[in-house]
Amino acid sequence: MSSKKALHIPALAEFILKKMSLYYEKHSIIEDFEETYQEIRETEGILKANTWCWMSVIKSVSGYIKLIVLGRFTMFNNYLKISLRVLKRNKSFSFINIAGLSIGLACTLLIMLWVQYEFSFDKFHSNYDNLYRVVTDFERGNQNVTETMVPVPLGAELKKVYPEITHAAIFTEYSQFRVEVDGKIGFNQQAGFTEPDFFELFSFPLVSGNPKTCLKDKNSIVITEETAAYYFGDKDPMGETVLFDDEKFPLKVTGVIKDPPDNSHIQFKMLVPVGSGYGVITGKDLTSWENNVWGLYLLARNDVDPASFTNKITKLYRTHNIENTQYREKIRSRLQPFKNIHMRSDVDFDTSNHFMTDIKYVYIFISIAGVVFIVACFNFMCMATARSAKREKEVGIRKVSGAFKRDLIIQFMSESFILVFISFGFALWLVYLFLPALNEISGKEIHFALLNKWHILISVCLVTLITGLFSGSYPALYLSSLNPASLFHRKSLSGKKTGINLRKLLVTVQYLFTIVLLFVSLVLVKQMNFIAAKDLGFSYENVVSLDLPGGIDHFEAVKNELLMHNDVISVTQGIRPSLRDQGHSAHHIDWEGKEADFKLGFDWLAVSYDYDRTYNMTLKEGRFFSKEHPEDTSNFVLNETAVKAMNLKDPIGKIFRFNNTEGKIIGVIKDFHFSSLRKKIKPLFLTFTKYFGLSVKIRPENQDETIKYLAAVWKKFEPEEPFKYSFFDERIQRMYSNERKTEMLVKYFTFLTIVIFFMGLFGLIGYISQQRTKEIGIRKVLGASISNITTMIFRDFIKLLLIASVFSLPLGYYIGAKWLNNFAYRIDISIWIFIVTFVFIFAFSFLIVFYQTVRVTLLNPADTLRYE
Amino acid sequence: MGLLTLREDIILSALVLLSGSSGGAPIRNKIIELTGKEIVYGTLYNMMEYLMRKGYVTTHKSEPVPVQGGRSKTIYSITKAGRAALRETMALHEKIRGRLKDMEFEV
Repeated sequence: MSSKKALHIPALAEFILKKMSLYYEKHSIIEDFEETYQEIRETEGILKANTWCWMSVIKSVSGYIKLIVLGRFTMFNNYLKISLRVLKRNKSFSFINIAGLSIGLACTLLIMLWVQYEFSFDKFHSNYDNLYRVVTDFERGNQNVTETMVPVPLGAELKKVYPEITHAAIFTEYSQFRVEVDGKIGFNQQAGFTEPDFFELFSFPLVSGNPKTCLKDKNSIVITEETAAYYFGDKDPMGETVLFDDEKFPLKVTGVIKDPPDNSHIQFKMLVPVGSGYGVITGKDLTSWENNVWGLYLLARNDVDPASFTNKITKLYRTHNIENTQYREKIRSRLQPFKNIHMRSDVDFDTSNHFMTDIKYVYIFISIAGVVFIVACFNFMCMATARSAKREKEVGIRKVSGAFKRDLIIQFMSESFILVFISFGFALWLVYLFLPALNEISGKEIHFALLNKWHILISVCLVTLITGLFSGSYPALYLSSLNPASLFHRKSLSGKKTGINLRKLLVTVQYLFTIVLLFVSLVLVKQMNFIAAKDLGFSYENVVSLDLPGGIDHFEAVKNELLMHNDVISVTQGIRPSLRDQGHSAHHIDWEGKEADFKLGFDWLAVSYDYDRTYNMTLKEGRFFSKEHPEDTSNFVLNETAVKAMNLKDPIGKIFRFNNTEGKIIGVIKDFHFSSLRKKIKPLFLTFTKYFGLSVKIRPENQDETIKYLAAVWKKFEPEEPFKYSFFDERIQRMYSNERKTEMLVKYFTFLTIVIFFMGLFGLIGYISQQRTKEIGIRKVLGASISNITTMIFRDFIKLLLIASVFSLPLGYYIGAKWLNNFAYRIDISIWIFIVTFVFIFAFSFLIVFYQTVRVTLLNPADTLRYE
Repeated sequence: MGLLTLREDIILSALVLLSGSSGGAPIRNKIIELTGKEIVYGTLYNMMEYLMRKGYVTTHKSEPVPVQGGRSKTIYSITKAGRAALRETMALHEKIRGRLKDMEFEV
């Protein structure tokens, strides 16, 4: 018998049994268990006994869980009924609650979808982590320029010399091809030039054709399903002939490939081996190391060290004779990880045309999503705390009837979850409605179906769960801890101060976020307006650009013919003044009286006669290129900044040299913004050219007619080329597209945040004034005026507003200033923005307080103070 | 008075076989002996709970087990109503079995 003590069942099993047992006291469960346990142990050994014990415990657990779930479900029914009744009873508050949360959740979801889309870019490649692109840094003038362009032989050479590079393929897209099949012609077709390794690197599945061989032959072409459907309809395109480009190279279709997904930075309608039709692009030898216009992608082994490749590639360049030694010395190539291409690219000239995203903007939107979400949740919590004051009696009764604290927590939590789920349904609906609008603004193609991905679903569920927990936590924890005795006997006229401190905190934080958002969006809007209104030093309205690679053969004839039309004001030729931020920097510049240590980089534009007239530029000194002076073809025009930088007293007539051209400075042109306003105006000179596209200034009237005329003239002189035109203002717009999109989105989301916040404030103040109805009645009886009472309630809020402003205005200023730093030409954040922000928030808060207070104050004290 | 289910029948029978009253563990052993099948304590207690509500079984606490730290156990006893219900069920079984025998349906 003395050994009995040692024969207890495992402690953990005992613990679980005790916890689970509904009638632990009534039946002697542990004792019975132990008795059997000992029996088994004595007869069959300890192992069997333990096994039996655990098996029984496990079997009991399932039954226990079933019981609990069943019980809870019954209770949940009751909670559901109660919360729906509560919702029905306070219609306006329920509306504010659900609407606020739905809008907030919808905003968050939309931004999440967008962010998810951005992060999903290029991820579908199975080699995603081991892919690299070769980019090249140049020193040009005084600045570094990064390009994606490399010569064709580099890939094969890298593969040969360094075993860690397993595959390499050129991929470069051009989109100017004329493609003909059986008389069906398409212009501006987008073709990707590549090499057979393409299919080893990337995961674009072929529908038909062999990935190993389909690009081997120089005269083959692989088309996407879309292209196949366009040219061949239902016919099988395999083996058919495609006439590619103006020269009509006959290419044989050797494969059909799935259309590249939207979230791929590699886009194409057809794949063509680098060797075929290359003449159209470069006219140079593909084996040349100097023909560097190609984008090169590499697949490397896991053990590759990308950093070491800078030197390795440079060494390769050195060993292969590049004649231009100066060029050879200045060029540095390195490996850019594939995953950085979409959002973290530092490349200035990208061979791919895809719309890159700056990770900065993604982070901005993530923070906005966070802010909107927090404001919406806090709003919900505020309303919940306010409303909980009315439900104290219900809590008391529940407690008296035997509810435990746990039951009450579960009740209030499930109530908040019910609300959150309702709002969530609405939010999904809103997302569905507004996704097209977001796509419109952001220029993306985000699909609602993205929500189907499991990790999105999980994060969405998490967001919902957090919202529910977050917003239900306060009332659940606070109300459930109240003592029923104190709930019934207290008779205070003004209601109790339930959760006042927490509410104050929540309101302050909401104020804070709203003010920051409002402030920043005001700064954004002002800056963008500033850019739109800024005098660029030239005008671009009604200037039509006609694109032509190379040059036009009979420029003078075309020009004269065009000018015959009444609505054509002026025609010129040359590089347009809408440079990207990396200009056409020039070196090898020299002039009369150049100081030996002069180091500034110059930009240059090649232009023709009437350039100044077409773009409305003003000459400060001298004259512009003119037909009356034939020697002008080798002369130069400088801008003011250049003259100042060169420190020339009397520039006209001075000798100026650029590369091999030597000429005189014939004029000084007033500074104009030839790059975006992000950059300061740089020294610039204009040289004469006979190449590049046309710029035609037309009258604003009858533009459609005029453009038809342009097309007719074009057809006459260039029957082979498709007529392509664009308005110059559109190009200028595109220059700021990132900023514009940010401005638009921030504007909308700020507006929504303000709506959510003020809706919440409206509800909250409504509750507070209702709670204080009796107090207000008494004050009125004692002679208080409406303004007295409004001031009294508003005083509480003005304090919170002031505290929030003290923190948020400087924060807003900091963020705004940081963003403005992107621009060389920018607005000052004036005191007015502070004032407007503050006054706006102040005025709205006051209006809400005023409205809600007056509603209560107008009630007859005789009614409000009646005591049943 | 309702009829017993097979499970109730078995438990009550086991109690009768254990001379009318017993602790949980012997009852379980008896049931296993009778049916040859394992029964989990949870099921046993649930059935006991049910039988108690019907008034077929009562419980009382035994004296503490005479060892150090020994605790008292719950003893289940069959009531008069329980015995009556068992008898009634058995009678019904007999009757049905008699009819089955007529059809030469036997074990």
